[in-house]
Amino acid sequence: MKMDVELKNVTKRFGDTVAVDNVSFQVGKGEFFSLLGPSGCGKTTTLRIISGFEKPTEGEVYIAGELMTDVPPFSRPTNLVFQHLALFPHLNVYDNISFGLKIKKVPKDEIQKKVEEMLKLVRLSGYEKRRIKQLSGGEQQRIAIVRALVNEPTVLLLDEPLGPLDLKLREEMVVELKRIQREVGTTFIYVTHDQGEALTMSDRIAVIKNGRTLQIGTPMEIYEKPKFGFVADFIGRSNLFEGRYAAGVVEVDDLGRITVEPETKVSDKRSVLICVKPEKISIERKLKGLDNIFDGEVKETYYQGQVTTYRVLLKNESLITVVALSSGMKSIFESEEKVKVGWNRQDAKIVIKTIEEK
Amino acid sequence: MDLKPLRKFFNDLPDRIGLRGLLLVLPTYAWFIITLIIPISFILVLSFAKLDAVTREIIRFPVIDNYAVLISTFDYLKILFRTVSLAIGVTISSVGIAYLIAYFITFRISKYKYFVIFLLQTPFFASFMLILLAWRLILGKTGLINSFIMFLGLTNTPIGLFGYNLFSVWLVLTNTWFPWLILPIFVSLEKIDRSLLEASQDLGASSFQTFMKVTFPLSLPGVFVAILFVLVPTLGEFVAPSIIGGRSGLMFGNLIEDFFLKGFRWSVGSAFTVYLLGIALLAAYLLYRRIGFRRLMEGL
Repeated sequence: MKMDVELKNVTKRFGDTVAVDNVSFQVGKGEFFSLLGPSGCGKTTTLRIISGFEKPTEGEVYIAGELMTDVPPFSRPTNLVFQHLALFPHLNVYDNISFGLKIKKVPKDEIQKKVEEMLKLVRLSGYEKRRIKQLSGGEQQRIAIVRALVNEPTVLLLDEPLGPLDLKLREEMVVELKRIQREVGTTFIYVTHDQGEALTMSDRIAVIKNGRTLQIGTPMEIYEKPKFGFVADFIGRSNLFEGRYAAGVVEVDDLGRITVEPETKVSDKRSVLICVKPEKISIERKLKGLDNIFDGEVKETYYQGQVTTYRVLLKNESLITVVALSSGMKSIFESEEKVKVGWNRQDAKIVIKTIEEK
Repeated sequence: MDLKPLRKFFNDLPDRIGLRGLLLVLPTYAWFIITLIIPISFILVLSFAKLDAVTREIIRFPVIDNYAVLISTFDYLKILFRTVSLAIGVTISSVGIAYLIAYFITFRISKYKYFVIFLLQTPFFASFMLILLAWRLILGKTGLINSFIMFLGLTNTPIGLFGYNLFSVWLVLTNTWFPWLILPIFVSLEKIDRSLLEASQDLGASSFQTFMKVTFPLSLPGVFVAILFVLVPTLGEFVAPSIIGGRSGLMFGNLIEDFFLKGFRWSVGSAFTVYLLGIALLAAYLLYRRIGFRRLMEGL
């Protein structure tokens, strides 16, 4: 697969602060690649380095195979969709979208055609003369996207574009963005702190914390096989158990033994972190037939329509989260009820501890 | 005295929003009326009157003779043309210099930005008359500039350009005005969302193109405020010309001054004042048409 973007050992320092710490990754042609992480983790800075607005302190940036570390933003084949859109308030929709094309001196009739195509793509045909202030949040969002896209960049960079939208609109836009990317085929690099967005839209995700890429993989890999406690916890709620590993069993203090699938890479007596996803845990008054069953007391119940989320207290005073389909349950457990929780060995994944704790 | 109606009035006040609004603006409106509307109405009435030369009483009303004076006298028209040209010239040069300075401060100075702005306000502390008198010494056939040039041996006769003339008026007015104009332009430049400039660059525009297509258009409200700020007072300027204007630097304001103070031809002076007011209003109207009243107010 041809690489559209490649970062090699990119580091960015602002004085004493390291915003981006030795980051390397590749993005293939036509891929929807997300940079996922909490606020302030350096994902926006990384994006700005790719777009040319920041110069890396160390490392190299390649776009479409060419070294572009020192190339200014107006000469790069990238376009950026800004977090707060940055639509030109003094220009109408047509002039906003055609801005880049006019700079490139594209002939007028061609500009006209392209703008019309773009507006059709985002289902806003006929909006040419409107002023930016008259548009709703979702409409502005789509205009910002096509303003960048109409220039046919090699890579489209998006900086948390769905932040300011309300939930319903965001859900619609997630579907829209994925559809647009599929139709146009451009490589997308998408920055967000919302794991739901990242999981839904991406071909691959890079999870970033404190300027470092912790794990890069497909949504399924990241969700099912997290390599760090942080990754496991950031992507959906996880239940983490710390204990000593010995031949397929992890001994957790005050709780007991958790049976896991034997891992050849972990030596005996090593301290490990196990991750069990809330939806993989069964919760009933009586349980049998599962590799791991523990006693618990329901502390909190959240009925959420489709699912019900429980917070269950275990013998070692830890609280775990259990998510069960509401329809699959005979009854909803109330607080103070004694239950049994359990999961099979393949649902307990061993995860390395985070780098700081290593 | 029956206080009940008074008490009722004050009790009702919180609910009577319209009345409260009116009361709030009343002082401003009163000031406006007293200092602006009344004198202008006075002038307006006078301009249509014919006054007796000795008693200065109105003997005929209304007449348009006073307005005809300007149109029928070529010299006066010449001076009007000269005044408007000069006002436009001063506007262009002072707004230009102010824009350059404001731009430099906004985009090239980060740490002491507001301190520099503060420093630039110091010219305000000097009296305009003093500044003019100082310039009077600098300019002129025997002034500082000419004396220095002759001292250097560059020429034996004083250079006319640096005398008391229209050029000097333009020079001094530009010099006096530009500090005042920096602030509105600075404010509108400062307000520009920096991500817009980045977006422009991301879309392929060079720094110059970004300036022409994004920065400058968005700074126009401040520029237009600055233009109005200079243009209108300069049209009516008469102090500068009288100190350093010499003969060729005589302006419309001086004519009005003479009509009122020297010839006691108040009615003609009033007509000329109305002409000037009309031109100023026309200028403001044209600017409004160009940019819209709302954006002009936002600029302020």
